[in-house]
Amino acid sequence: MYDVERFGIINTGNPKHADILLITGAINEQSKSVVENLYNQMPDPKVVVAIGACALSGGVFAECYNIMGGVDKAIPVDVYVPGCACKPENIINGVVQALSVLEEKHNKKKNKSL
Amino acid sequence: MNIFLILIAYIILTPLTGGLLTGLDRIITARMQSRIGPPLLQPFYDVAKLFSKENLVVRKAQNLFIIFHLLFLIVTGALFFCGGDFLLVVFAFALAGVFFILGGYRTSSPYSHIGSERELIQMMAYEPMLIITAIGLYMTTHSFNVFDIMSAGKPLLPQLLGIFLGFLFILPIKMRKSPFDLSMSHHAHQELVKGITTEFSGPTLALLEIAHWFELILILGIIILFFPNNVWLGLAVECAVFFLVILVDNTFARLRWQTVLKASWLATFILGMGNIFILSILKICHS
Amino acid sequence: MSLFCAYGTLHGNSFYFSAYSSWASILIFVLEALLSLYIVTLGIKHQRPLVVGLVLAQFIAITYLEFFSGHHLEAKYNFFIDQFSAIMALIIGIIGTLICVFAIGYMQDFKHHHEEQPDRRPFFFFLLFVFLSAMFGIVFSNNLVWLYFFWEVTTACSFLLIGYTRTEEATRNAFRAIEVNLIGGLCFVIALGILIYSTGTIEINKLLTISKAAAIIPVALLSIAGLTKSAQLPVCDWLLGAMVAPTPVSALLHSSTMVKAGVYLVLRFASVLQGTLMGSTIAMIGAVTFLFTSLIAITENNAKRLLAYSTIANLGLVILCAGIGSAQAVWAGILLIIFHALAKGLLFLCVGTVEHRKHSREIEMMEGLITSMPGLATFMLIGMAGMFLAPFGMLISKWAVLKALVDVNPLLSVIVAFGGAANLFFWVKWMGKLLLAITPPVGQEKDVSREEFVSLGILAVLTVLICALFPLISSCYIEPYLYSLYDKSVSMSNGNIIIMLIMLGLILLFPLISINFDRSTKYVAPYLGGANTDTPGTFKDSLGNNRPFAMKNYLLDEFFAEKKLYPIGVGLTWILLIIMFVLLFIK
Repeated sequence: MYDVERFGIINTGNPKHADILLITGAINEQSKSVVENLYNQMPDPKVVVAIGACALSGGVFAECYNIMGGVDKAIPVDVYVPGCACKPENIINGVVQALSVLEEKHNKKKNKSL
Repeated sequence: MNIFLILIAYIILTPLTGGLLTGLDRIITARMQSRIGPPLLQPFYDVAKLFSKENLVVRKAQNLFIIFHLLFLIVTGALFFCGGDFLLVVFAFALAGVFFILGGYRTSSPYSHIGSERELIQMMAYEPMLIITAIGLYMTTHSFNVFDIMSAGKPLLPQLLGIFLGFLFILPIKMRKSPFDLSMSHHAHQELVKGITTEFSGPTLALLEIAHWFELILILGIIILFFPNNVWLGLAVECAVFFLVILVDNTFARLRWQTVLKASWLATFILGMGNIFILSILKICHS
Repeated sequence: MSLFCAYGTLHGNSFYFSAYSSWASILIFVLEALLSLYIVTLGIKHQRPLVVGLVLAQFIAITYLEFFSGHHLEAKYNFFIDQFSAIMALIIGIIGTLICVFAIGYMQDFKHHHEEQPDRRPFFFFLLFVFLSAMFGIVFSNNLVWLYFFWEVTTACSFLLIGYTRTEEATRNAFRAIEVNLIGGLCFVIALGILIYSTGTIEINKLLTISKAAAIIPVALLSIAGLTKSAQLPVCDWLLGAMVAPTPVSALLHSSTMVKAGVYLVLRFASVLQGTLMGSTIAMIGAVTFLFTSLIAITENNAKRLLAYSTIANLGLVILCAGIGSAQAVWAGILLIIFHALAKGLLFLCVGTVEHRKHSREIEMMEGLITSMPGLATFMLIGMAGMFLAPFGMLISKWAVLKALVDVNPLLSVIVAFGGAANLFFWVKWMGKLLLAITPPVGQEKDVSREEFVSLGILAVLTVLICALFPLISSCYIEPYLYSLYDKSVSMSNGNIIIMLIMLGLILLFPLISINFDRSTKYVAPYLGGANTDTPGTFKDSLGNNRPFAMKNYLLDEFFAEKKLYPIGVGLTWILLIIMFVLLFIK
């Protein structure tokens, strides 16, 4: 029921093999460089999906001294999936939306190179 | 039949068949895990998408190794399906594998380094069995030539049962399935991030996928050699074996490389060498 | 000179010379006496009773044979040149020359590194040239007594060259080497004695034509001499110890030429060994050696030791071929000799050069060589590929060995299969190490001397070229030789030759393309879980510090440790040797 592979998606732990980055949790100073590093290791075209309230804006931790905010403080985000915690169906929905964004980016890249 | 025709048919048909088989593999795996699984043509979609991605490298010329890996796999398969010398096929196969391993080393990353070492151990584990298969085929048909073996006209399986079983044993290694998927693992299983393929992306990854299809077809093709008199029976056995390997993949967990090496060499020794020993004794008795 | 002989035998003839028989024999005897005296004095000086004993035993035996035997020791033809000799002469001449050229540059560096020792370089080169002459003597001798003399000269040269640096370790290893080789020499003399008393001939060409039953005993003893000189199990530790010598010595004596003399002798008599139980036993010794030394080589981190083990392994393969003795096996054996001499010589010389620059023989220290010394690394990769990869030479030979074995003794081919897989492992591991480049320094190649570079380059080119040309070599030299011996001939089918050449061509494209490849692609850091830092080769650990990472090779110690496998190998081969002796006495 929660199978994303029926859309042809598999989970891989390696940014170099990935098109979509699913990211949860807020960004603090230590994780900022890590997230940037991983984002840069993904080949274009790529999509970022921020999942959960903390990834969107910091959630309940937004006022903390060490939290800089949501994921978009470190890398550009394409799809936001709200919730705390998110429902699985919403995550799948977000991923499917990300697929269409990916398609868009891909077409843009193809048109640019033509 | 004209060699060129066979060659061209081989180069075009193999990726298609390989891709379809891989898609089938993923669907069967998914169904075994109570999932739905991707569409049948998913591997082709994947490869197309990968070709459209950006090419990132860690070290100069790392992708060249993969290109040569694919090139020599095509050469090996062409040799095999055009009826060449089987022993040469085994050695060319090793050459292709070496290019892959060297590519993994070249990327100079810890994960791919371990992946390369483990891929190397894998190669060391199955290489003796392949050579013993060649020797067994020679002892029953008096030729190393694939064309001659296929024209032998009698079933080889009863005489080569041990070797056949040994070959089945190392098949998961070659097909990169559990319990022997040490170095890069087939689809969706992570293994030290992505093992030897960690630092390859985009078009190179697509080439790797295609190379795996060629490998798959070649390995399955060797099974047919055991049934020269009845190719349809051979194909049926192939399908059964394919299903069996997927079943084993989903039932077993990955083993440690020490266990893989020991188990493979033990199986090779007992099944392979035992078979050859029996064949030698039979030969002495007959003469 | 080698080219002249090569040309002469091209047309399928063998030449026989008589060469001033009587006074040459006396001269040789005098030289032998002087040599024995010299070794005995050294033996006494260093308190090595075994050496003294062996030399005296040999000397007394040969004196007795020469003067008191009562049989004529006149051989009709003392020298001969046939195709096999011509091939060996080409190997000695070409590779030997290249190594000597290399040695000029190398010894220059050696002097810099070992300032405290007196400069004995003239002596070194004198020994090298004496050695080369002795090798020519071995391959051209038809008279076994003369061959014995040249054989012992090479033993003496090896002894003096291993002990060249005159350190404690070197002297110890030199004496170990000479002890083992003298045992082989003793067997040689006993063989000569039996030959004289039972068959009355000391010529190789005559020996090959008399009946097998009469010839087998002396041939077996000569084979034992060959086994000691070629460092097979159980007597191989002298070769491992000999690695303390300067690299040109290791390359020349202990991989390309002197150890080839041992297998040359056994291979020459392969037709006598064919089909006999003795031959099978010798073949087993070769096979066991091949398997065990290949496995042990996996655990080696010291480059020269690994090369030594690999040499022993490949010589084991040649002994295997010689023991089998069929035409196909001899074909494989000769090809093995050619390709191994080339590739191993190249590798030893490269390792020597690298050792001088990096001050270490460890393989782990050669990481990133492709960036810091690209030319040298390329030569090394060619050498290594030449050792095991299709379609290079050794692969052709291994293929031929398997083909030769399936008909005769399939069980041995299983041993070759396992050994071959082990070989694959350590060569690819080393090749990978050279290609791995975390943060290597650049531009260390400037101080490699011209002589070294040129000879390395020529050897590398030759390694590739001979692979391409081997069908020619086969048809012009090896096949006529086999034809004269076995009345039939073997070769590789034309189809396969074309396939090999295509593969060779494809592989050669690789370095050409790689020069310009990836010029415009984007470079990123390797995956380290996002913890990369600006400095390559480090990552940020959990406390925020930069921590370097390193990658080392698997040595598979728990499987193939030298301590575990070596005694087993020695034990097995001793059993085989004892079987050989029992067979000798039964006959």
